Amino acid sequence: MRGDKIFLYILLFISALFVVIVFLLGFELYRGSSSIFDIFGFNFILSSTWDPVRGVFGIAPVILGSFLTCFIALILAIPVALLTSYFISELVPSRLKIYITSLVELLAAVPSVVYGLWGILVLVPFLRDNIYVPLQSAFYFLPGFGGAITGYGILTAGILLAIMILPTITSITKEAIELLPASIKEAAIALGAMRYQSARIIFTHIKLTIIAAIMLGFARAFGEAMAVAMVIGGSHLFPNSIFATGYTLPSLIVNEFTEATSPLHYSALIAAGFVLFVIALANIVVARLIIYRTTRFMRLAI
Amino acid sequence: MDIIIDVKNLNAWYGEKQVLYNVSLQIPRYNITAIIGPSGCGKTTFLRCLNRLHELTPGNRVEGEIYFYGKNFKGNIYDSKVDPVEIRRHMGMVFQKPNPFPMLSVYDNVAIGLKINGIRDKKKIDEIVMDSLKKAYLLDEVKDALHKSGASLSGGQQQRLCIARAIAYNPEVILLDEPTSALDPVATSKIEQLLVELKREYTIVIVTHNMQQAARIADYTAFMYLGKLIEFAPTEELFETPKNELTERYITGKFG
Ligand SMILES: Nc1ncnc2c1ncn2[C@@H]1O[C@H](COP(=O)(O)OP(=O)(O)OP(=O)(O)O)[C@@H](O)[C@H]1O
Ligand SMILES: [Mg+2]
Repeated sequence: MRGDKIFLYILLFISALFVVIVFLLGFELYRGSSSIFDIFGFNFILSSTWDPVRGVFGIAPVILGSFLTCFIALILAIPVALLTSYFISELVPSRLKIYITSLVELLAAVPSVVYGLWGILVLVPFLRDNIYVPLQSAFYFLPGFGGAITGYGILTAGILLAIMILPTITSITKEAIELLPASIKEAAIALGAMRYQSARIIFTHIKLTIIAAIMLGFARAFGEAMAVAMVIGGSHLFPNSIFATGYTLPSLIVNEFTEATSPLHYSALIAAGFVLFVIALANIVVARLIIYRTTRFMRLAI
Repeated sequence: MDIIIDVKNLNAWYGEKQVLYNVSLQIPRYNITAIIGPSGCGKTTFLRCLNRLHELTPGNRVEGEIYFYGKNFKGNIYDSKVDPVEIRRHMGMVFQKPNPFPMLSVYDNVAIGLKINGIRDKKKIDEIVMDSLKKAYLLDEVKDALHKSGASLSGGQQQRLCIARAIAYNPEVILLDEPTSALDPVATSKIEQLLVELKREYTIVIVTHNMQQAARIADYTAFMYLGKLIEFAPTEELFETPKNELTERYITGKFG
């Protein structure tokens, strides 16, 4: 009785602590950026002019850059991650499985600055010479394929982010496939399912975990600062081609924070952090809603 | 006798451990064949060799021949040229523990087998799903719950759903592994009735622990012991005049 009460209080205290930390964080960010919102209001989010010299700040292209890189990363990473996880859990012989699994986990643990260095040294020149240049010479007449090619840019950042979130999504999905009862997999096979058909049935049954894994991947990609800052090229303009350089919210902050030229510039960067914070919270709410909608079917079942 | 499955010298291993020894057996078409024997004698393994499920686990091995004389397939199912997926499409399987797909609705649990087997036409799927649920004596109980999860049904209903799923895509043989072991007498008798009904259109092979069940519904019964087939005969004959002493001791309950 008494022990249970104390345990309950401890749990309550810890949960309350989380709420307080999130609230303080949001409040601190808002306070640091209030002068920006006082001056520009919603124009800070809607306008595309970023001119520290004249003291005008708008981050619409940066927000767009954040969503674009994440979108590219997810589009590329999700199918590859799902196929890889199925491959590892169902097709790789069990002796090899341990090694491949450790490799995937290792990739998930590599610090992002290492990914950034690899991006600069390998990915940027590779994409520039083998993909972007041929692509431009083939499609130069189409809109969106013009402009200078440096190898740095939003697309490159998206591809690098895809590689970075791949191990996260893969290992969570793989875990879920392996935890799925053998009886369900056998039911599919006994019906005469071909490999891709039983894979589809397996994925249907771990839908929720996949959503959670994607959400985690999105959160990592959306919040990634260092690696993106190293390959995105840094630009406050709306992208005018698929090769264009740009910014994401976190990469803007790391790139300009140390050299902020005025208190207002400084405040604008904190405001960018506030926007990042709000979008990250929204991501969690949206993910919750998706999970709620998906589980409603399951709860109806009970 | 019209034979649909002819098992010749079947041997099976789990890794290094052999569990079936030279089993030879002829299963007659449109009949119920029961497989009985003490726990661990290899009944499940035998059944899983019939639709090439045993070999799925890495390390498992099968030797011997199983000839299947179906409408669209005639030959040894263990021939190296044969695709196991095709064999499984001629057989439906019902497992010991009901295993409907929990993330699919009652309706989709049956429909998925049709889609897997290449039926696309919505109207036709609808027709067959309803028909299979009816054949499995389940439709009346679930017609208002077709869109609920397959896991929302009672144990007995789930098992009948699995039977509906197994017969829907029109296999020729239905393999059942102790389908009633988790069910109460009412659900059990419903399923027994259903199997007797189904043998008009399908050949049925059922593993059972329950000798009364075998006596009630099976036309032929096989007795297995320690991985070997001891005796195979028409059910009455096996129970009334067993030829083997082991069989007699088992059916009279004098087994250690
Ligand atoms: N996955 C496995 N790995 C190793 N040995 C196994 C495995 N499954 C079963 N066996 C062994 O194979 C033998 C036959 O098992 P099987 O499941 O076919 O028996 P059964 O007659 O169906 O028994 P029960 O009536 O208890 O279901 C047993 O000795 C068992 O220990
Ligand atoms: Mg068994």
